[in-house]
Amino acid sequence: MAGSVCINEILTDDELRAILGRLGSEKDKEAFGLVCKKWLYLQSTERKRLAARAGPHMLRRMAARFSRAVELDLSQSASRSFYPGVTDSDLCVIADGFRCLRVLYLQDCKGITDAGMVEIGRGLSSLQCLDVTYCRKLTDKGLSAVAEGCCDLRSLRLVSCRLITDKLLHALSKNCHNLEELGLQGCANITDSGLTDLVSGCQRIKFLDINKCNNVGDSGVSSVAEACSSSLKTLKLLDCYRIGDASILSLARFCRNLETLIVGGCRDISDESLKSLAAACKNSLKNLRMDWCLNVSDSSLSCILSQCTNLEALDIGCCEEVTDAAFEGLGTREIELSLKVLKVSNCPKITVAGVGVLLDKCNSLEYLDVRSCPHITKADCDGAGLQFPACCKVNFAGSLSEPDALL
Amino acid sequence: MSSSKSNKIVKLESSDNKTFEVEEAVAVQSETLKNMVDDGCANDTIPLPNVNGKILEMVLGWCKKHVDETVTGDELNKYEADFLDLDQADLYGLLMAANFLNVKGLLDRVLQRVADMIKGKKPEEIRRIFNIKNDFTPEEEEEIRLENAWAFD
Repeated sequence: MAGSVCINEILTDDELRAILGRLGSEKDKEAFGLVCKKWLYLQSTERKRLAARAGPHMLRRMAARFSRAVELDLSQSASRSFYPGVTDSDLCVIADGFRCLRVLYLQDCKGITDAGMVEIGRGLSSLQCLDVTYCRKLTDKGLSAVAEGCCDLRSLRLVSCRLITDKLLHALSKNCHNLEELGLQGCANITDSGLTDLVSGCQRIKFLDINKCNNVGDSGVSSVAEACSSSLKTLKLLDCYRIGDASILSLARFCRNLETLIVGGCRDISDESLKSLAAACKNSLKNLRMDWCLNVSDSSLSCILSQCTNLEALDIGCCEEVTDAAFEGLGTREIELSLKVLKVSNCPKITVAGVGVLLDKCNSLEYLDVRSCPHITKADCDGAGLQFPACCKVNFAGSLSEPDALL
Repeated sequence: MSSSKSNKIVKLESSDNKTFEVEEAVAVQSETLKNMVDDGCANDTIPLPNVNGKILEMVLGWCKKHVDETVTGDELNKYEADFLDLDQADLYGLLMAANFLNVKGLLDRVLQRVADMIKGKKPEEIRRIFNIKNDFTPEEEEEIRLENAWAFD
């Protein structure tokens, strides 16, 4: 009797969808879609995520077919690039065709310009997440159009979009009150007044990356700390050399949920503000990068180590004043450090004695960077009989791949 | 009410006028029937015009087995596996009945069975198994394959 009954005459679309839902592999789902037009429709509209390398004709067909796609990945990279790459007219097709889109990845699509962004703002009102990292031609004009059209924007990554100014921050403040993540690394035209403007409207920011935005100073950071006090979890200020103690004290005062702080290269930061931060964020702080903070010494470091019990990654490279004494305070206490990553490169006053105390209190260490530490060589460690945890990688002189936690 | 629940009988009539009597505990494996019982509409014979006698008997057999506390886990697994060794007409009938009567475990197993019949097969084979007419032109099929090549995860 097999084969004499046509399944499409008996089962409803919902039942067929339920069967499709049980096909695990993409290959099976594709075969399903090639069976007949009804099954193609079901398979195509079920598809929520899509990655594509395609020109406008193919994109148009995909928009028509996968009309309910929620996530689209068109990002390029050196190994997966094609000529001419994603263009503004492709963005026009996307804006018209993928109406339900919430997530759009356009990293490294270097050909796109403001015209394409205007289309995105016009067509994709449900957009929540946009990544235009390295799309260097974009300016305030195009991205403000996105802010105005996509009011539910939650995450915006603009790394290296160096033409961006405070004007965009104003547009975001006005339109995108649900903004949670903002990546502005390398957008060096951003100033304190832009940041203050930004957080007057965007008060739910969890993640703010202003690495290398070297016009930013204490007043901008303090505005952020105060406005986003309960939400702020990650703040990246790499090489923002105008930042000083006032910023750190603001964070200590307002941001009790701070988990990740990157202030590498912020040379004016001193022990006093760091001690306040350690006390205020002792339960929340997980990742702290303060390499090149030349005024940091044992007094703040020992506070950090003993109070921030959830600290997992710490970078104090080139903090030349730090000595073994910073670790010695740990020796007498009953604590167990959760530290997984520790970078002390270029700290000439730390010796194997300090490392030894640390290892005693820390079983979870996975990566230790001691490059350019004249008193912590392999020979020194072996000579002192140091016992590293089994999975721990120690970088004495080479270029081991570094963990991402502090980038 | 609860003391009489274990003795209460539910009467069902299939589309081809066969009647079945089952204990309430068995019947309420079906969410649809459970709702009727809870609403007090299960005192007379319940007509089921979209389920025939052969299928209804199978569904009730499944429900009985799943209420029986003497059945072990292994026995139940074997029962479920053998249960679904059916021809397609019966399989679809069972699928529709399980769906309509909302017997979750049974529906799940049947959908999985049909999905298993699709896994690893080429479209032509799937069409043959389920007796589906290919309504694509060769050009249309080629275009879809091309789109699949350009769109990936």
